Order: sequence, then structure tokens, then C-alpha cells
Amino acid sequence: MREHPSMKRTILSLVTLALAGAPALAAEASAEPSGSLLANLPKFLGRLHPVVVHFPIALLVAAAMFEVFAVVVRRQRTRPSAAGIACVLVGALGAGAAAWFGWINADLEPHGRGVAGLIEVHRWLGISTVVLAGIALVAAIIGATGRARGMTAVYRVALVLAAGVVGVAGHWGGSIVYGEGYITEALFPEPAPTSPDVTTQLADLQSAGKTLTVDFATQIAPIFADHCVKCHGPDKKKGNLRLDARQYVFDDRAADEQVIIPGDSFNSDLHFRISLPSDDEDAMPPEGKGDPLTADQVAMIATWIDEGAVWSDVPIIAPTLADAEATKGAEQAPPEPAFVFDDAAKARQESAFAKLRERGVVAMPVSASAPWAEVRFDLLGAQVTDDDLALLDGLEPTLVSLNLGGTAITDKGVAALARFTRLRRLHLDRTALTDAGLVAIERLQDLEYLNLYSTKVTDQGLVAAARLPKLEKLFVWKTGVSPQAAMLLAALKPGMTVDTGIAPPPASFEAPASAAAEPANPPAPEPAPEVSGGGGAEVKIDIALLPDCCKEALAAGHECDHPCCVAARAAGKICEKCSKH
Amino acid sequence: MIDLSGSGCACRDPMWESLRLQTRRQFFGRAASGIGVAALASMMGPRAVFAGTDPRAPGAPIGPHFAPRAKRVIYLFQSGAPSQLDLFDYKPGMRDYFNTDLPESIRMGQRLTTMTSGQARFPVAPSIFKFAQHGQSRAWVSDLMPHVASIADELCFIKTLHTDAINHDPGMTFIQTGSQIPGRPSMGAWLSYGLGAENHDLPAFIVLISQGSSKRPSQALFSRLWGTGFLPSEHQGVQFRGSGDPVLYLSDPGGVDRTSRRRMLDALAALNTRQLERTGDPEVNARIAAGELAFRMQASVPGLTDLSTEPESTFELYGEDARKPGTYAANCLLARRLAERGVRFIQLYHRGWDQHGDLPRDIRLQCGDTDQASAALVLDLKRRGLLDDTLIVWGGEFGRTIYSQGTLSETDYGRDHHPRCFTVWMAGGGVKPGLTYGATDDFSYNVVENPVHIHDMNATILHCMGIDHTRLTYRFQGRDFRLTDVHGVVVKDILA
Repeated sequence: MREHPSMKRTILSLVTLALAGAPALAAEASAEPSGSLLANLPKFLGRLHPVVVHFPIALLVAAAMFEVFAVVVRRQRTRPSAAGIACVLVGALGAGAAAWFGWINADLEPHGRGVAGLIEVHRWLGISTVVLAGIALVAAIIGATGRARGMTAVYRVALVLAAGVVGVAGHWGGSIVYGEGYITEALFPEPAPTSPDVTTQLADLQSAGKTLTVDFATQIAPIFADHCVKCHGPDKKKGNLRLDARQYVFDDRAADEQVIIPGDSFNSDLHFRISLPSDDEDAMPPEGKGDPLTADQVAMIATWIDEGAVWSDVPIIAPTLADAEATKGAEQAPPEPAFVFDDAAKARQESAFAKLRERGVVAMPVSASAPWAEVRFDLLGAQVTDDDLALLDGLEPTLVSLNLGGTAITDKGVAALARFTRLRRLHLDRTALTDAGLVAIERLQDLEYLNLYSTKVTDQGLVAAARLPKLEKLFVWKTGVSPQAAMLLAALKPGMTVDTGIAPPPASFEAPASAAAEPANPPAPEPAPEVSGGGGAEVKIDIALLPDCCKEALAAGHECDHPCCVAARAAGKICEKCSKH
Repeated sequence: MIDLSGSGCACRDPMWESLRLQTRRQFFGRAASGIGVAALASMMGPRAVFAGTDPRAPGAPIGPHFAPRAKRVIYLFQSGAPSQLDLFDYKPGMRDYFNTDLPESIRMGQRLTTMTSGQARFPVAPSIFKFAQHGQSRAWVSDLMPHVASIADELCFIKTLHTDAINHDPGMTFIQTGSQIPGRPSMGAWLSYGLGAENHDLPAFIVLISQGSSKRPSQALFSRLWGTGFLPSEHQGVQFRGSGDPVLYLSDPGGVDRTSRRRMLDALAALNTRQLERTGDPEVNARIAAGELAFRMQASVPGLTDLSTEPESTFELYGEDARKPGTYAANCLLARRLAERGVRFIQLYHRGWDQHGDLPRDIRLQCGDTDQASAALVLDLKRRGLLDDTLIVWGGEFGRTIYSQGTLSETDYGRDHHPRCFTVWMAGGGVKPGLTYGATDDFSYNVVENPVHIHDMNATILHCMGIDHTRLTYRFQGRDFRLTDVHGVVVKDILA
């Protein structure tokens, strides 16, 4: 048979192909996690590993048995047995397929910590099986021709090795799935651990003269409540773990499943997981499922574990949305979403983004950690008209920042923005906006930043701005807004800055010499509501000083039209005549 | 060896050459993908196939890790190191020490540059400039900067920045790349890599350089200061020039119209894509991106640099210098226009702050170049509502010594480099306005309260941009690199 060498090459290249294709497939799949049927193909192939793997195990062992039988019973020494060759042929191909699928499976399927080492050993034992089975197959085929007698011996040695290695590989594979010592455990079960008893623990500590620096009830339990028990609690039991009572953490878990090892934070899985960087796949809380713990919190938990993980019985309950609302601080960035940003909502947002981007509009999430969206029309300038605002459909629940600066939108377009009630930043600067358009803005109760510079807005329009409870920054440079109205608004709304864009003059250094010679900083004066003219030009106004006529007029949404008051405003003053009355 | 060329003589085939140069590991990695891809390419389509080699699609930003306070940075770099002692760090007590020797208890073995290490004595040179406190924040600013003084309430002064370097090039390289040794990516490149461009018609990282008026020659600037190091080349800073064409080779030569340029680029891109498929070299991607960006910039740059639409009031604010392309004032105005157009990182350099001698003369000239325009930029961004999400940083690479370099007289002195403390100010996106942070000793030689290292400042700038500096990394030569190396603590105290 002259084609032996070519057959050998074919088989070798098949093995190479099988081995080489696996990592490539895995790479494709991890790049495309959830896509079409085809994209999911690698994952499917990977899961075939446990099915296919039975062929090489059974057949290689069977082939070895046939050869032993052939040698011992039938005294057939020079040639391989036909049954052996048949088994080796299918067994070697099966081994190749199993190794390939296994490689994919190892890369794609999530696996627990500590298993990585097992997987490596298993991986290379599997590859060794393929190589040995391949050698056995080739040697068997050559040996069967009877031309090279030595080949039969090579075949048998390789086959016995392959059968041995496949057995060991199979054992490691089982260990990955069922855990090490799964078989022996049945014979020699480990006693279930008993939970450390709080009173004995405390007594021990006391006798050792130690005191606890971390208190479970007040320092640790709240962390578990805020960050953990939503998923590891009575509702979800993710990973079959509950952290809402001592019993679930210690008593109900097997010895090798303990997540907290009292006195040993380093080897406690709980501590390991919470200290991983949040983009690690094993990190807790998982990305997007909750706020990561701060370094201080992690350190505190470590100390608590090292001090013996003393767990006193306190209720640990995840906060509800209402609690979160109640405790939310003023500076807490994006508000708690009242809607669920599920896959459908995500898809709606992505499709809106896609349409906007096609139009050349900048549309993107504000950050990788929250669903909030930001859209910039301003880079397209006057090409953008009211009609383009329809592109925002679908972003109603998530749009927090919208820039329409310098576009050709009108009051009508602005009126249509009232549905984006989560908007926090809105640029309408350099547009044809008038007071009429601003009325719709009143519905945007979350608005913190409103840019109206270079628009036709007048004092009248400020009434709408005054009704925005959270507004902090208002820009009215180059508008019809008078400095007096801006001042009044700033006075009415402490915490709001109204920027009229007046530049301060250069600082004067002709101050009294004592000021320069005095090294200590004098206490800063009381912060007053300011109309910031871009720096030092803050103007203080006491609303109480305004005459009644002006107050009434502003409350009604317009400026006082007394000729004397109009003249005073023009001069940047308060009407003295009316003030006296 | 396997003959992959099929030609019998492999040596003439460039494919073979490139394979020969690959390491064994690359070979197996590539071969693996190659065979796997061959099996699936027809089924999965090209995007998925290329995603396999680089999980990040070309140009896809990592995105801010959390909601940013600043969307862009304007870095007003004062190259040469301005004297904190004559501008912001007021030390009135020094008048009593005029021409006395700097005590060893203050110097504490500080290494000196060779420019003064041979000096027989180190006589204290108090500043001759008048200081006053400004605004509600009562910040100290000298009369060299009346305009900056007028906006003191907008600024956050950090008086305790300190660095590791004592000479210009290592100092600038350190502050911009996080390493004194050249070769790391610049901060602008990191931000471009991490956040991508908002405006795809302009580079995400733009560099503007102006010459100082000081009589003493300026320190050199190298383009590697705005380089990408090992990051993909499309993230490197693009320098806009002050005279002639703002961007070199951007104009089409005569006889080439927009359509033929487009066709040329398409054909080139097709060839480049084939090369990319063969070699997988990410720099081919950078080349394609550069061609496309240049094409879009042909349309976007002329409007950007045309200042004729600016009203007269603009030039009143920035000063008449702003009409002259290439001046600091013109660059500040350009920086505002770039900020309006959503450019992520705008890096200005103003040269000439290296006042080893004749400091009073030269620092006046330098402040004359920069004072009004720096303040104007802050004010202009503020009234346009842009200061809210633009972070402005003003500062040099280190500080200057209290002792005089060369002859000290009542009216003249020089100052050598000083790494242990210097003043920078920041304004806008995410930092507290009207704050003076940190304190130095009476000689402005050592930090006595709240030191801020270069890595801390860089970490803070990234934080304002929504980036966790420990998570913006790039794997190169087998390890992860980041701007702050293994250092850096965000200075939470200065965040609004």
C-alpha cells in the first residue's frame, strides 16, 4: 500500500485542524455573545463535549481490551486485531472531536474559581489522548499491512497509553463537573460544619483579651442588605447562596462550599469575590447588578472575617425602591430609574441611537454604568429642524441630556420636548426660541441646566424657568432678559446661578496696603445669591428691598411697568420713589 | 517547513516574509484563527470574523466608566515652568530674608540642576510683585495677572503639585504621559482611546502651540509629547499650525476635486483592507482612519479656523492678539471654538516660561501674552454654558526656586527649577470653583498640607472625565499599562 505516508499526513492534518479550530471558534463566539443561530454554534458545539467524550473513553479502552485478548488468548502477535483497529478508528476520531469541542467549552462556559487548574490538566490530558490515539491508529493501519512488524508493537503501546490517559482525563473531567473527591465522598462523608456560635465566640475573644473592631449588626449587616441580599436572599438565592441569616451562610452549606472562613478572609470566597475588579466575570456584585463595594467596605468585611466573622442575628433585608428614594442624597447622580431597563428597552434605545447616528447626530450613553442617554444635534447646526426631533422617539425614558444649540428648531419643536421628562441638561442656545416655547419646558421638572443664550427669550420667559424646582444653572447671555430680572430670579431661587455673561473688569491692585500685607485669609463673607457675570461681578440683591409694585409684577410674570421703575432698572437700580411708599 | 506560498520559492512572496518574521506563538495563534475562520467565514460574515482578532471594533471607545462631570479638557500648558512664587504662592515673610541663604533645614538635600548646583550660595529672592486677595474666595494673585485675578472665584488653585523630575523634558514627559522616560501615550491619547471622538469630523486630540515673548530662548517641544506611544496611532494629537495651512497637506492640490479624492480614498481603503486581512496589523486600521478623518477635516477645518465670523466683542475679551494666528490668545479663542465642536482634548502649549535669569522682565512679557486670554477663555466658556462640562487646566511642568539663580538685586533675579511644589489652577467641569487647595512652607519649597502628586492630578482629571484611572489600561509587551502607572489617588477634596 503505497499511500501510507499520505494517509498519515491526512490524519495528522485532521488532528491539527481539530486542535487549531477550537480556539478560533471560541474567539468568534466570545466576540459575538448573543446573536444568530450561527453565532451561537460554537457554544452548541462546546456543549456536545460531554456527549462525544464517551466515544473515545469507551472505544479506546475497548480497543485495548481487544488487543490484550488477541495477544493473551489468541496468541496473535504480529498483526493488530480487526476489532481493535475498528475501535481505534472511531475512538481516535471521537477523541479529536471531543478535544476540539472541549477546548471551545472551556473557553465559553463560565466556570467557578479553583476549577481553572483542573481544566488545564484535563485539557492537556485530552490532547495527549488525541495524539496517542492518532499514533495508535496510524501504527495500526501500517501494522495491518504486515510490512512493518514493529508497528504493531508501537500500536499496542500507544493504545494502552491512550486508554490509560483517556481514563485519567475522564476522571479530571468528572472532577470539574462534580467536584474533587466526588466518588470517595460517598464512602467517607465529611461531617457538616456547625455554625460558630456567637456567645461562645465572644466568650473566647474576651478570654483572649481581644475586642472586636467591627460590629456586625451596625457595620456589616447594612452592607449585605444594600448590596447582596437582593440576589442572595429569600427572593432569588443566586448561586444557591443566601446571605440574610447565619444559618444559610454557615450551617446549610457543605464544608467545601463555605463562602466565609472565620479568621481567614484571604481564603474566604465572599471576600475574594467582592475584592475583584468590577469588570471581572467573578466579581460581586456583578457589573450592572448593584453598586460595587467601596475599598473601605471591602476592608471592613475582611477585618470582620479575620476577627472571626461573628454573626449576630439581625434582620438583613434588601432596601426597596421607596427606601432608596427616601435616603437618596441631593448630589446622587442619575435618579433611581422607575422603569426597568430590560432588553426591550435597551433595544428601543439602540434603534433610536442608530437612526440618530445615521442622520449624523451624536447619540450615546452617558456612561457605561447606567442607561441614561445623551444626544447632540448642535454639531449639525442649522441643518436640524423641528422634524428631526422625531428621531428622538424611543428615548423618552432615558434621555437626560439634549443639545439643540445652534439648530433651526422653533418654539413648536421645543414644545414637543415636554415628553422627555427625565431631561437634566438642555441646550437651546442660539436658536429662534421665544418665551412662548419656554412654556413647555415647565414640565421638565428634573432640569438642572438650561442654556438659553442668544435666544429671543425675555424676562417673561424667566417665569417658566422659575418654576423648575431643580434648576441650578441658567444661561441668558445675549437675550432680552434684563439684569434686574436675572437678579430677582437668583434672589428668588437660592442655589440657582443666572449667568448674564457680563465680564468683570480686570482686578485692581490699588487696594489698601494692609490687604496685601495680611497673610491670613479672612473668613469668606456669607454666600449670597449671585448673578454671576462670569466671575467677580456678583451682585447682591435683597428681594425685600424691592418696592411692592415690582414684586407684584414679577410674581405675575412680567416686569413692573411704572415709568419710574423702568427708568431705574435701565440704570441698574431699584426705584427709590416706589420704595419709599 | 511548510511551503505556504505555493510558488516553490517562498522567499519572494511578501506573505512568506511576513510569516517568517512572526514568532512561533503568533504563528500558531494566527494559524488557528485562519483555519477556524476559513470554516466559518462564509457563514458568519466579515464583521464577526474580524471581531475575532480584536474584540474591540476599531475606534469603539471604552466609554466613561461613570457619568462624567467634564466632557472635554483644555490644557493650557505653560511650557518652561512659570514661577509660583511670583504669580500665586504669596510668601510675604520672605522680604525679611532678602539675600540670606536658604536654610539647609528647608532644602533638606533636594537635588539641584547643574545650573545652580555649583553656586556658592543660595540667596533668598522674595518676589518683587504686588499680591492681593481676590473675589469671595480671597485667592492670592499677583499684579502680573490682573485678568486671572478678576476670575479668582471661578478657579481652583492647587498650590501643592509636586513632581519627580527636575528638568524640562523629563518633567513635561512625566506630567503628560505619567513617565519620565519617553514612549508612553500622552493624556490626550489616553482620553481619545478611552472616550473616542464626539465630533467625527475633527480629531479627538488637538494641539496648539504658541511662542512666548520672553527674551530668553524657549525650551524645545517634541511631537512625542502628544504621541500615542503604544496606543493605536489614530489617537495621537493633531497639531494645528499657527501660520499658513492650519493642518499640513489638508488642501487638495489643483485639479483634484472632492469626488476624485473620495474615489482615491475608497480605492486606497480597499487595498489597505486587504493588507489588514493579511497581516492583522492594527496600524493599517489607523492609516485608513487617518485618511477618512483628513477627508472630513477638509470640510470641517476651514470653518473652524475662520475667525471672521467672530464679533468685535470677542476680540475685546481675548485681546487684540487673538487676531494674529499662532498667538496664545488666538489659540485660546480657537480652543473655545474646538470645545464648542466637541473636541475631547485640546492641548495648548505656551513656550518661554523658563526664567533662570531676568525673571522680572521675562515673566511680565509672558503674562502679557497669556493673562487676558486665559481669563477670557474661562469667561467665554462660562457665558456660553460650556464651562460647566469643560475642564480647564493651567500649569507648567514644575515650579521655581525661592533662591536666586545668578546675581540677586533689589529688582532682578532668576529662579531655577523646583520639583517639590508648584501651583496649577483648574476651572470648570467637576472641580470646586473658588478654592485654594494645599499649602507650602514659608519658602514655597516644601509642601506642608495636602500634597498633590502629578499622578494624583492626572487621576483627578480622568475622574472628571468619567474614567476610573485604574481601569483605563492597554496591554502592551505582556502587561497592562495606564496613565498613572501603579500610582495616583483622585483628589476628592477639589471635586465639586
